[in-house]
Amino acid sequence: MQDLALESLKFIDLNFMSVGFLFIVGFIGGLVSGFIGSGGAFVLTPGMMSLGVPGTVAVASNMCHKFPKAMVGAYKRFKYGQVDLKLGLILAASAGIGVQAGIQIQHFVLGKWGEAGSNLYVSLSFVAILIIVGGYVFYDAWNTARTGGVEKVTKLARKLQSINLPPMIYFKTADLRISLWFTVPVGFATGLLAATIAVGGFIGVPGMIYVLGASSLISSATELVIAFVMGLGGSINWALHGMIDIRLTLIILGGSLLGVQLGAIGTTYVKEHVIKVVMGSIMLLVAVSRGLAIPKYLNQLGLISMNEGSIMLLGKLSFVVMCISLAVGAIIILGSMWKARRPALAMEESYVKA
Amino acid sequence: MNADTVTSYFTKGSWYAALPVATVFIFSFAHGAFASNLWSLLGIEAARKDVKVTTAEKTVREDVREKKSARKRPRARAYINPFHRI
Repeated sequence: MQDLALESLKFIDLNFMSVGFLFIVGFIGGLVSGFIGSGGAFVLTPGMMSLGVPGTVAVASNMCHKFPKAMVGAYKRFKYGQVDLKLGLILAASAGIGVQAGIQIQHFVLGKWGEAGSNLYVSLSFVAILIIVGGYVFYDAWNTARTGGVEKVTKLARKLQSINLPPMIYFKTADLRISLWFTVPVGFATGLLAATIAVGGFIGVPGMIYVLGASSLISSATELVIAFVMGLGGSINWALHGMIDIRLTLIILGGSLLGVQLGAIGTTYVKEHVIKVVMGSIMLLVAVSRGLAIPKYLNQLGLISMNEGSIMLLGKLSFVVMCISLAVGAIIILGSMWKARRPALAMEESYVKA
Repeated sequence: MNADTVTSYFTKGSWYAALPVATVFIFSFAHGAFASNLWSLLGIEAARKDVKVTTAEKTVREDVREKKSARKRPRARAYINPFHRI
């Protein structure tokens, strides 16, 4: 007998190759997420779609794997004293509003310009935000590395912290006192971006660092709390619509839970600016990847004309660059962990000898 | 097929939506504990705990404190050479 439920929902058949692919991408994605707070899951949606999973099922299954992963990562980093739970929950609340606003904007764009217009809007916001924010993060990491690896609180954050606009909140772990009103736009933007391009952390973490003045270690750990709350809400919503393919979710989760813990451990080894280096380079590479997808949508809207072959090629190139961005992130993380581990090991050995 | 039964229940919606969500929770608790033990078994553990460095000033201050405590205190040693002719 044929699998009726699997058939009717267009859930794909799984073979060894696809399981292996999902497991490995899940692991690398988890590693990156555990390290920079988010941003590991964006390859999975197009990755699953390339295996033949329908878009909505891919998004739903991806989201359902994201929140337990964020939970495990947040728990692990909480144990290292890096998570500011209060900051995370307050930002998550305003991010919830941002998500709703983002969905409304999507509906508006979809109604006015159709599918291609919506895709173009998503890609354009991807490219614009990632280049601006990612470029700045990278530049800042470069500067920090040059000046000896000590992070400084930005002028903007110091100015905002000095404005006494009630209710003022003190965040203990992040060790900063700031008005609630300045945290709201950061959370809102995180949610808006999460609803638009599915990775809110690309604005949430830099927002916490540069606008609120938290360190990159605390920001990336706190982002995991936001991702957990938003992912849980989103997953329940998708589950109500019956769109989650639990098999895909569990396979990816199998890999990503290994990765997220390794990433979390990695943050205790490296200097703080390495988090910014990883984040900046991933953001810039993803921007390139999405930029390569733009001609396709422009073509669909009839704004430019290109032949099918070159559009296919650009699409494939875009996916490859996206995979490269994740791989680069993973290599930097593992490389810097390895480098930081060697002196520690040498010291241990010398203790043993003595 | 079992996969068919599971999928049909897990995608029913309404209260059945709790099934996938509960599954991933249970899975993440079990797998999380497993992965944590696996990494420590492989010798990969956190290097420093309780990292609470936020501002540049603090970092510098803490660094100084660390250095002070790390510096070896000179120890007084009394040693009498028994072969020394007085």
